Amino acid sequence: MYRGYLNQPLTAAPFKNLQKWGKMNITIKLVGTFRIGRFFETVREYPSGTCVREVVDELRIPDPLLGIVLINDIHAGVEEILNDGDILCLLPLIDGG
Amino acid sequence: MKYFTSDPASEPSSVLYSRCTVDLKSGEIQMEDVPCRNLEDVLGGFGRSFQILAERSINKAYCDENPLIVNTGLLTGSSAMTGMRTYFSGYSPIKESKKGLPAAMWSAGSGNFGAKLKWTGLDELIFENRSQKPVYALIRETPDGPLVELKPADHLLGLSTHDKIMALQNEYGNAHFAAIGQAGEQWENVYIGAVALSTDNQLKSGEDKVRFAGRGGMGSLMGYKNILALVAQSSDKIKPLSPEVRKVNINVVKGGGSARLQPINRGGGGGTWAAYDVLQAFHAVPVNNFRPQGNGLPEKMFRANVEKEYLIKSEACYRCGITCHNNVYEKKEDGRAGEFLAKFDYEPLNLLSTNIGIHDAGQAARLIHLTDNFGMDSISLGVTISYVLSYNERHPEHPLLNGATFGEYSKIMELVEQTALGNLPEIGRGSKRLSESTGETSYAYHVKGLELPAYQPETNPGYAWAIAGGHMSMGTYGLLTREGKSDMDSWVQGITQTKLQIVGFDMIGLCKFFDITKGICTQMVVDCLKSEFNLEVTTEELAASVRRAFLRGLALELRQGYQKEEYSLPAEVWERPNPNIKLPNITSPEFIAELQKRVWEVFEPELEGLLP
Ligand code: SF4
Repeated sequence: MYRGYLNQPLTAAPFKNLQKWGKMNITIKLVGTFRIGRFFETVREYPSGTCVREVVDELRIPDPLLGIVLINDIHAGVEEILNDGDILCLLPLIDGG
Repeated sequence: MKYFTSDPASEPSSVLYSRCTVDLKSGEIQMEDVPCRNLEDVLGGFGRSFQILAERSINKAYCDENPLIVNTGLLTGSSAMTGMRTYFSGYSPIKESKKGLPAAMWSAGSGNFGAKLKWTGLDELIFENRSQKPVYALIRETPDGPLVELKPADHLLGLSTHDKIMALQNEYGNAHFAAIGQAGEQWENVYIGAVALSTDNQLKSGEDKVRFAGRGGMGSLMGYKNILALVAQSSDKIKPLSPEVRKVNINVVKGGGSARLQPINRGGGGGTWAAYDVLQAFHAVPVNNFRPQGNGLPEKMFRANVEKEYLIKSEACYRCGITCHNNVYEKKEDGRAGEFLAKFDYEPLNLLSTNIGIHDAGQAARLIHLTDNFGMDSISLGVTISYVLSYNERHPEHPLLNGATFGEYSKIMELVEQTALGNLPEIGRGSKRLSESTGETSYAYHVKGLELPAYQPETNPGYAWAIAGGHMSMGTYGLLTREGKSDMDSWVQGITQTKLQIVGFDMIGLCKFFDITKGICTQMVVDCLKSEFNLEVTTEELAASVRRAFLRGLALELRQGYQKEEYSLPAEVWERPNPNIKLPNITSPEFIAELQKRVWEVFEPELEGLLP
């Protein structure tokens, strides 16, 4: 099994309170090496108020590799709160040639 | 270098560097210790060479008065990770103003040559005039200091970059090499010659794993001077790693700054090749002469797809833990590596594949391999070929040259070969001259006479102020794509303050991947200078020196006849806006005009007094 950058199994455990809070569906698209051992695109359910950082951590995408965050094709930061139906795209950094 | 101070910013003249001037016409060789004029001289690279170039009035690149300056940076050959850079500077055969005057230019490369050169005891070599016969220069460490000799090089004539290096390796042990290929020898018709720098890996394996100082035609200038190669022979003089530099090196590898360049199997991003996937998400991968089509074609060159058929090994320059090279090999039936094909870096890969309509990794590898062996700048070559293909697509009745169009591999291969052999000056002299001769300049993708790297100009109006190649001398190529900045203030700030600092790496001898986002004005560099040379320099002093060096480059451009309107982008960008690129439009004529006004408002007052 792919164990991620931190050599820990990937789980979707952190969001235990899904029932307590309102739910929302987020489409997550991954680009480049982020797809290895994960997925290309998927729809996941998260509690309302979830921010990008929580999704990034859940997916165990290492900070130094995370270059670009797009929400509905618009650049965003990791602290941004997601809304139901958002398309979140996570891309690696680019740098020089 | 000799240090008689620990404060080089205040007392630069107490730091001396060792210079050798070789008069190729008379054979006279002069050695001297030169006091530094300022911190730029101390740091080295283009910071020093451009001050020498600024002292000359040069009207054409191929003339006796145009020197070829080969130097290193302060940290080249040090124990700081990536400290392997060599710089080649001179007035460029390819980059010229509309007025027709050549621009000052430098080109940088890794490989082991720079460290060996430094270890001979020499910091700078200046080649004056031109040799009547082909020669190579031998730079040797001796008990009395560095010794430089010129040797006949007839036996090297006509050999590729790799073959020249291997032939010289048979003669000289404990040495590293810089060599031009056939293209540089054909300097009259090829202005885009590159200089190849040998690597340990190459000398041990016999495979052509070479590094290049590619941009600006410094290999052609070397060819004009009739210098086919340089040999630096010395014992290795790397200092034992101090605890401070060890800490810096660990930080370079583990601190996250270079993570994206490290191998995927180490949790890294897999090198510059990864830019393909990222830019494709915005449909901003150059396709068919910088016209992305909004489709999935570029995906054929994604690493994940290439890996299905070929074996990719992550390899590195000597002692570099970043390991950013992605070397592509034939895959044998048992899965092991077969023949080495080419090194896939984003720029050469894109400009010699997707941007010329080639979507087959094997064909791309062969084109890159051929270009490297002939010793040409893959960026200038690829972009000039894509201009030809674009012209031919528009004029099927009256095509240029062999009539090649996008994707016609064997015809494109013929263009590459014939250019290198000096038979196609139309391509060998670059896209500016070719497009001026056809009268169709709007889709010639150069800025100020130097071809653009593989980032769409729609994403980077900062190209206009790059002083030595679009992506390596102005770090704005990610400002829109990566940082999402589309407002005027961010662009003015980026161009005039933060992103110009990228050129610091081309002074100090480090690879940009040491810390590409932060530059050289960091505590890491301060710690290295203190530990290696007992020099006390602040990050502010470093930043001021890098800025002065950059501005001197800009001032030199203006002195070579560049007009303000030349600080712009290829006109196709706004004449035919590309609807497929999924990013805000920041290259309208209005945006560019306002940007020009505001950038010059900042730069212009600072240019005074920078040139002699
Ligand atoms: S970062 Fe790459 S090019 Fe630079 S020294 Fe290391 S392996 Fe060589």
